[in-house]
Formats: sequence, C-alpha cells, structure tokens
Amino acid sequence: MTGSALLKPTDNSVAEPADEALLSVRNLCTYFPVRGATPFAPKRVVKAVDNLSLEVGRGKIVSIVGESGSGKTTAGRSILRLIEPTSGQVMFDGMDLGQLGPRALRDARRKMQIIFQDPFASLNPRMSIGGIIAEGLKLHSIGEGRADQRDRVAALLERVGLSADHMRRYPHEFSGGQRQRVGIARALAVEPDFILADEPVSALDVSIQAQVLNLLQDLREDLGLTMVFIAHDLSVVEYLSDRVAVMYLGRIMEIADARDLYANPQHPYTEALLSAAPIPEPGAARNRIMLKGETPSPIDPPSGCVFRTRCPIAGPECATTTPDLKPLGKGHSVACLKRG
Amino acid sequence: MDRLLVKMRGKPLGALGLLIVILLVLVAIFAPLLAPYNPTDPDFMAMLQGPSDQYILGTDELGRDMLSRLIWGARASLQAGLIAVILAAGIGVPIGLISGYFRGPLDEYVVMRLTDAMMAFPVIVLALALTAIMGPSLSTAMVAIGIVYAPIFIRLARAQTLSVRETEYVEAARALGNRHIGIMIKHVLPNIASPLIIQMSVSMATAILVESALSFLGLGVQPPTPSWGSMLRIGTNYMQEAPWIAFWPGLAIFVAVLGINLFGDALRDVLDPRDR
Ligand SMILES: Nc1ncnc2c1ncn2[C@@H]1O[C@H](COP(=O)(O)OP(=O)(O)OP(=O)(O)O)[C@@H](O)[C@H]1O
Ligand SMILES: [Mg+2]
Repeated sequence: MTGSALLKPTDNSVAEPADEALLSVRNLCTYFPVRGATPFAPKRVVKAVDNLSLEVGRGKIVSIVGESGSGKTTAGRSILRLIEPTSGQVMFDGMDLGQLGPRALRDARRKMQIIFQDPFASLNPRMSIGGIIAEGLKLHSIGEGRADQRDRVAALLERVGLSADHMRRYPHEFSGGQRQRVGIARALAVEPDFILADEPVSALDVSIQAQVLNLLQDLREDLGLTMVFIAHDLSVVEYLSDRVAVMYLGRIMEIADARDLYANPQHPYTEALLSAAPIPEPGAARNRIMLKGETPSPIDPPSGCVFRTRCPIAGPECATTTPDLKPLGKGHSVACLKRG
Repeated sequence: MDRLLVKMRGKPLGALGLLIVILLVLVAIFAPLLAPYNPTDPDFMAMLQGPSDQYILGTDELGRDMLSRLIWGARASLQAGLIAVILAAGIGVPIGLISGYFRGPLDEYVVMRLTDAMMAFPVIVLALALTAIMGPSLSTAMVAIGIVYAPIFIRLARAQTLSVRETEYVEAARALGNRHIGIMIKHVLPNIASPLIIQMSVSMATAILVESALSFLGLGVQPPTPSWGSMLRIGTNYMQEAPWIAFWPGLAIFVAVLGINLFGDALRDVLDPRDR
C-alpha cells in the first residue's frame, strides 16, 4: 500500500448533521504571569487569550485574524493543549481535552496537527526530511513495517509537491516554501482530522504564498480536513474560510460566516482591518478608516472595551462596560456596545 | 566512520588532529611493544643523561629511559583525560538536559545552586577526600576529576536545552505525540551536541593537566609508574642540569592537547548536517 488511503478523497456525500462541531472551544482563557519591574511590584498577568469561544464544524475552515500580539498563536496552542490554558473547555471529537491524561492526550494528538509559522524554526535541523515526516508514523505505529512507512513518506512528499528523493536530505538544503511543504507533510502523515495552521504563509515570499495556500486548499478538499487557520490579515483568508473570527488583545471582537463578515462587517475594528487591506479594483475604493495610535500593552489593557482607545465611535460607556459577543443572527456575533 | 574519514579530508587541521589522536591511542595501546626499555628500571650509571645513541631522549634523575617513560606515560594520561571526561559528561549531560527541559523549582533552587557550590570546590580537596576512601590511584584521580568537571557539563547542557526547548520543532514534536523522553533524546540532545563535543575536547585536554598535578601530589598515578604530568613536575626540579626531563613530557602534553582540540573541532563540523 502506498499511502493510497491518504490520497483518497473522503466521501463528502455522507452528510454530517449540520450542527455537529468537531472542535468546540468554550470560554478559553490563557493568562501568563509577568514579572513586575521590581521583585516587590504586584504580580500581574497578560491575558493573552480571554474568554474565547469557537465552534468548528467538520470539514470547515474557521480563520482567526488579528494583529501581532492579539493572542492568535496562544489561542491555537491552548486549543491543542500545547500550552496549558488557565480555564475553559476544549471539546475535540467528543473528548474533553482538558480531562485527558498524558497518555490519552498523546494518542489524541494523532487526530489534531499543527502547521507552524516559521519554516526555518519548525524543522529539526539534525533530522533528515524522511525522518521528520516518518516520526509521527513511528510514534503512532501507522503502516505495516518500515518499508510501508517509507512508501508513505514518499507518497506524502509527492502529495505536497516535493519529490521522494528529498527524503535523505536535510532541512537546510531547502527554501522556505519547500520547508513549509515538509511541515505540511509531517502534519498529514498521521492522517489527522483537524489541522491548526498558524500563519502558514506569512513568513514566505509573496510569490510562494499563493502556491502554499493552494496546496492547503487542495488538501483540505481531498482529505476533508477541518481547519483553524490563523492569519494577521483578512485578505489572506477571504477565499478559503467558512467562518472568520477577528481577535483583538486576546478577545474575539466579531465572528461571522466569511461572506457575511466581508460584506457586512459590524465591529469598527473589523471595518478598519478591511479598509486597510489592498483593494483589487481601483474603482471600488472603500472609505479608509484609519486606526488611531498603537495597540495598547496587553499587560495593562484599557478598561471596559479593550478596543475603545483606538475606536472611532467609542462613547463614555465603552470605558466602563466590557461588551460580550452578542448574536445578530445567521451566526454573526459582535462584541460592541455601539453595534448590534 | 568511513563517512567521518571522507569528511575529514577536506579539513587539513581536523585530519591532523585525527592523526595525532590515533597515534596517541596506538602508542598507549602498544606501549609494551614500542618502549625500548622498562620504564621503571633505573640505571644508576646513566642518571640525568642527555639524548644519546643508547637513550634517544635521555634519562631522568634515576637513569630511567625518557622515551620508554613517555610511551608508557601516554597510557595514564590519555586514560585519565578520557575516562574523567566521559564520567563528567555522563553525569552532567543527563542532569543538565533534564533540569533545563523541565525547569521549575528543582532546576532553579536545587540543581543550579548545587552546581554553583560544586564549581567552587577545588579538585585537590575532593581528590584528598576520595583518596581517604579509595586509596591513591589513577582511578581515584579520574573519579575526582570527573566529579569536579560534571558541573561544567550540567551548566552547558542546561543552558543549551533552555534555548532548544523553546523552538518550534520541539513544539512540533510534542504536537506529534512524543513523550518527554523521546523529545529529549531525538530533538534536544542532537541539537545541543556540538558545544558539548567541543567542551569534551577542551575538558579532556585540561583533565590531562589536572591529572598531572594530582600525580605530582601523590594523589594520582603512583611512582614509579610514569605519567606525563608526574614526569613534567619532576622535570621542573632539574631544569638547569637536565631540561629535557621537563621538555619531553611538556611537548607530549602540548601535542596531545592540540590534537584533541583540533579533532573535537572537526568532529563538531562533521556531525553538523549543515556542513555535509
Ligand atoms: N510564554 C509567554 N509568557 C508571557 N507572555 C506571553 C507568552 N506567550 C505570549 N505572550 C504574550 O501574549 C500575547 C499574545 O501573543 P501571541 O504570540 O499569542 O500573539 P499572536 O497574535 O500570535 O502574534 P503574532 O502575529 O506576532 O504571531 C503577547 O502580548 C505576548 O507577548
Ligand atoms: Mg503568532
């Protein structure tokens, strides 16, 4: 068998119940303690992820978008329990990940994988490409013996657009785009149901970005993958997402079906991000909404709504009341006192 | 090993180091065949003689053949260096790796403070204490050096581990479902190996010197068995009349230290896939 199971498209005709989520995140919080300026200063925390809730249906792609430091990576790592969250619940395929012991968690990892942002840091420089991709096969005893595992590695390399003779080479011999393909093959090797892609193209040359995005898109369709896709720019995820969540300082500001979010943004932050994106047709100029000032320090976020210091429509109530996500219907929710 | 030789070819200094190390090892192994005289047999008719046809490198203060003593001395010195360093790295690397990998209070308050204390501990004092238990011998000296050198390896392995544990490839290894032990062996250890190998070669060179000091104090190799260190120290008493007694072991130590360091340097390059 030459990894044909991997390459076989999943049968999409078997309709899953529409509301069955593969991944369901409820009130996830991850706080990091930070040292004060002096040893005697009061202990403080960075609320890197604050009260995040998210549902990802089988076969869907949900994107998390936000500026640098908004907590996207921390959110992703906490969902996969690579970081221990402070509180909250993550249900994956019927399992409460927070309740799994170390052994059960290791077994569960076969079904959820991650693709990293930095292709130069995410491959062990001392391992051959074949070793890197085969590691998951060995860990989870996938395949009948070493020859079969080799065949699988070869098939995976070809599936991600590399060649089987790359197996014996080492990461430093490859370009960023090729390494990212290796990272994708490593994630696919264990035949996961779910992949978290943490800005998988932002470190790549613009010319390569589209290729890697297309590869991910193809794989997702062929394998019926469920994905959370992290990006710092709404334009990257427009065409591949089913749903989009916009994050700011650890909190979700707005979440909606992709089409709805781009056509009908409700949160002033989403509007600002959309207007900052390059516009394809010159005629379709949007009203540019410029954000005032810098992102505040996450150690000392603004009271009330964390976005109010940069918000064009903030009122006095925004300093005192923290807005929760309010449903507006059709799966569109927004955390803003002025909207909805 | 053949791969190692092929790669050494492009590196003349590394090849020189390898050559020196191989020669020294051969000399140490075949000392009984190579030495023209018994290294412990005095010749009271030929004390403190300069190089001659009979004694190519001269004789020492008891008329013993310098060449034979030098050849036999390679055994004690290389053994001392090698075993002491293997012991030090064998103790230090696992402790440093585990401690740096898991961090936490045990690492910060126990391991680090203990290594601080051990770093301040003079090798001579430890060797004296061990001698009281084990009796004076080359093994006592090797164990003493090994223990005293272990904190160097603890610190180095820990410091390197602290940076490697934060890398994305370690995170990827966890995401794949590795156990901690697997991550430490497959992902951390190979990536901290280079500086450890360099440190081993440096430490091996200095261990040869420390062994000589211990031998001189009567805490290492027991007379009349020769080691380069003890020969060097005795030689310093005769610098005026017979400078060769100190010169030959001094040269031997110099060449050995140089060869080991060159070899260690080249080994690090060879083990690095980026250099393939
Ligand atoms: N281990 C940690 N200890 C303390 N603070 C942390 C830690 N990891 C992240 N943070 C903080 O949490 C916040 C969110 O970081 P995170 O890396 O999740 O953001 P991000 O949205 O992924 O940013 P980027 O786009 O730069 O990748 C930042 O302010 C960061 O400084
Ligand atoms: Mg990030």
